[in-house]
Amino acid sequence: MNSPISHGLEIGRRALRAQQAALSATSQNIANANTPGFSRRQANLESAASGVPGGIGSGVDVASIVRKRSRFLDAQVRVEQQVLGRWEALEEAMGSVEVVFNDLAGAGSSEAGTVFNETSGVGLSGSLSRFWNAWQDLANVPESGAARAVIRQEAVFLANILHQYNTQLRDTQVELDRSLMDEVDQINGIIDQLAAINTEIPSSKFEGGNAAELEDRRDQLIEQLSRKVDISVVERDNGQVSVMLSGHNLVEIDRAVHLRMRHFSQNGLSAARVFFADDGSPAAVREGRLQGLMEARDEVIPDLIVRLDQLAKGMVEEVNLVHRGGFGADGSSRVDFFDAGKTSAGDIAVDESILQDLDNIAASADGNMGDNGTALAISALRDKRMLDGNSTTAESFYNELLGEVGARSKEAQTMAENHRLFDSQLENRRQSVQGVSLNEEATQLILFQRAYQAAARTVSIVDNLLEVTINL
Amino acid sequence: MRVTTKMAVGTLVNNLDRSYERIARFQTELSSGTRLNNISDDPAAVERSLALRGELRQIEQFQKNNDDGKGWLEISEATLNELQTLFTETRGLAVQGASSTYNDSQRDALSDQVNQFLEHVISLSESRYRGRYIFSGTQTDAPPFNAQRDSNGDIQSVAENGDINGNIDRAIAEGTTIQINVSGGGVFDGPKGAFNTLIKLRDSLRANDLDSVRIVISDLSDMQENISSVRGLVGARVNRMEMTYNLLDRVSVEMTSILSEDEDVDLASTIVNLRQEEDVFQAALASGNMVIPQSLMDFIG
Repeated sequence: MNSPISHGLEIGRRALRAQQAALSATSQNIANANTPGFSRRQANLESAASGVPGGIGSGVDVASIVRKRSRFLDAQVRVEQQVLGRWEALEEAMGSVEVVFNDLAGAGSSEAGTVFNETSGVGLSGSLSRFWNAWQDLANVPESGAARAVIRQEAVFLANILHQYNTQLRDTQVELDRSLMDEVDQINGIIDQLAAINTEIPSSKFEGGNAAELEDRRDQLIEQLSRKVDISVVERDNGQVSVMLSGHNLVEIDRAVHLRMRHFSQNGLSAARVFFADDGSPAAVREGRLQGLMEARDEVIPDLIVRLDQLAKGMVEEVNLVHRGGFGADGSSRVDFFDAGKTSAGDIAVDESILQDLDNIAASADGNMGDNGTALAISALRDKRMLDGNSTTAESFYNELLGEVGARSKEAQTMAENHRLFDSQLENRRQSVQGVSLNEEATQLILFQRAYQAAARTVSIVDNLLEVTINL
Repeated sequence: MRVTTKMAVGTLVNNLDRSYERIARFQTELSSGTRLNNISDDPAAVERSLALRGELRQIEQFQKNNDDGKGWLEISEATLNELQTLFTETRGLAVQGASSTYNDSQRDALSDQVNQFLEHVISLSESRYRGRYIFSGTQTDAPPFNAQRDSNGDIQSVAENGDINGNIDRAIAEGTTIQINVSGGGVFDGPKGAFNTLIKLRDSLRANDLDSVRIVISDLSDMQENISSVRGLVGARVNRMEMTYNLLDRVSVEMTSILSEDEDVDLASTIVNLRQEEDVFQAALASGNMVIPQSLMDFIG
């Protein structure tokens, strides 16, 4: 079997090129060891066929540089990101809602002091108790002006707390609204980038080119998008992706369909819906940050506002009903205690006549100075099941509301924490496939370095042989 | 499993974060002294604690009402006690006056004494608690009785000043009110009428009408009995109020201890947990310090 000496030179040249390519892949890996979204590259070496039957072969070829990636784990991570995104958004939003009910420390009560105000009596719960107690103080001394002043002060305080809760809840809603707009903007930005990448990928892949960088970037964008909204992704053979949201295309080849947010009024509260920009059809979002923010903004907070309104309305109506039947210190009767025209948490107020003259506060049921029938009847409203279809008292109605805020917040925290854990486990598994191990790369370095040196040695030996031949 | 550099670092950072979060939580609990620093720390306990605190504030108020009501009843009781003594003495005078051994001028002296007693009963009927007439029903700003006097200033008749029989109640426990006043009518206008009896005695003594004086003696016995029974009623009410007060005291102690279970930090176990967590944190830091900088890179070159 004949083999020209120059063939050895060719094998050596190829070996040098292949080892160098593998070294480049390794240095690329090392350089990107900490780059988010990077998938490690692997140079696949292949022994080159000789082309001659029975030949010894033509050395080595770099068959391909592959991107190590697990499609299965990628898909799992995307789904996980959608769930995580929703819970994290809820966790943040519920945190702000919780703060509304926590944030009134030191607002003018003797019981102030601890961090969590409600147990310290500064919040609405304590204010309600003190309001009812003030009526009993008046019942003990129905002739007293001082006891009347305390009632008025507690009532004004109660109204102020309801105003503050209402205002802060609405402020939180506005904040969430801004975050929502922000999310939608970011989503549209990502969609645009994905469409742009879609147009580039096929041309970089053309003629065996390498689109690994673009693909890394694409996968990272898809993941960011998954955290925001529950998309599904289809990848084609040419590397282009289609991104869909609730059966509607967001990205199709080079075409990006933006999302739009529209506000509309629902029971006097503004709510937001997301629409597709192209045909105006509503987008059914189920997971992701977008959904979490919308849930907090359009479900949780309006519910709380409505319930505080119910509480305010109940208090105004029940107290007024009894109060109107009683007699003030100056014999006045049929006077409202709370302004009957203001029955929401946002505007509840002590009636103007009470603010003008304390004597208008009614304690007596029979018109005599010493009678405390009305004061006792009003303080007994504490135990009246006046709310929720006459099933619960004002205090327990509010305590339940607060317990529910806490429970929802805790649920969001726990779920977000669970999914963060799950996500980091998935991420670990994925890193196990696509991540860069410096130890591994170090061994690769040695391996390819030695191979390169050996190949160079072959070339120089073949060169020697040629020299010998030439000098024959 | 293939372990990459980022995995090791990521896991370390995650664990450090979580451990530090727990440390911060124990720290907050210890520094605030309470488990409930946010509503979401334990929503069920928050709800319970709010309800309990509401009830405790209510109990405090009930006990305040109770104290005030007892004060009223005690003044009533003291007044009734004096009335009873006075009627006992009056009966003594009547018995003396009924005796045939007394002469006109002696009866006149007795009559003057009875007149003084009458004036005293009027002033007793005007007893006040914190500025309020206690026998005027709900008209606490007016004396219960009007006396008609003749030109000598002697009382001729006494009439109720409007409605003096209104009830005054105090809320002393959930859903429980108790009447704390005794009606002026019931005490002074009993079966025969305190004032009328005294006026009749005074005038009969002055007129030496011994038959009439003898009738008054039995009327006075009736009066004494009436006041006794009112005193019994007042005593029973005070007892009931004291029992309620003590019951609420016990409930309040129990509630406070339940509240403490929900709200207060278990110092011993929290400190132990904090120590443990600190150890975990230190170990994680130390292991990170040992492992992360190391790689094969350090050994080639």
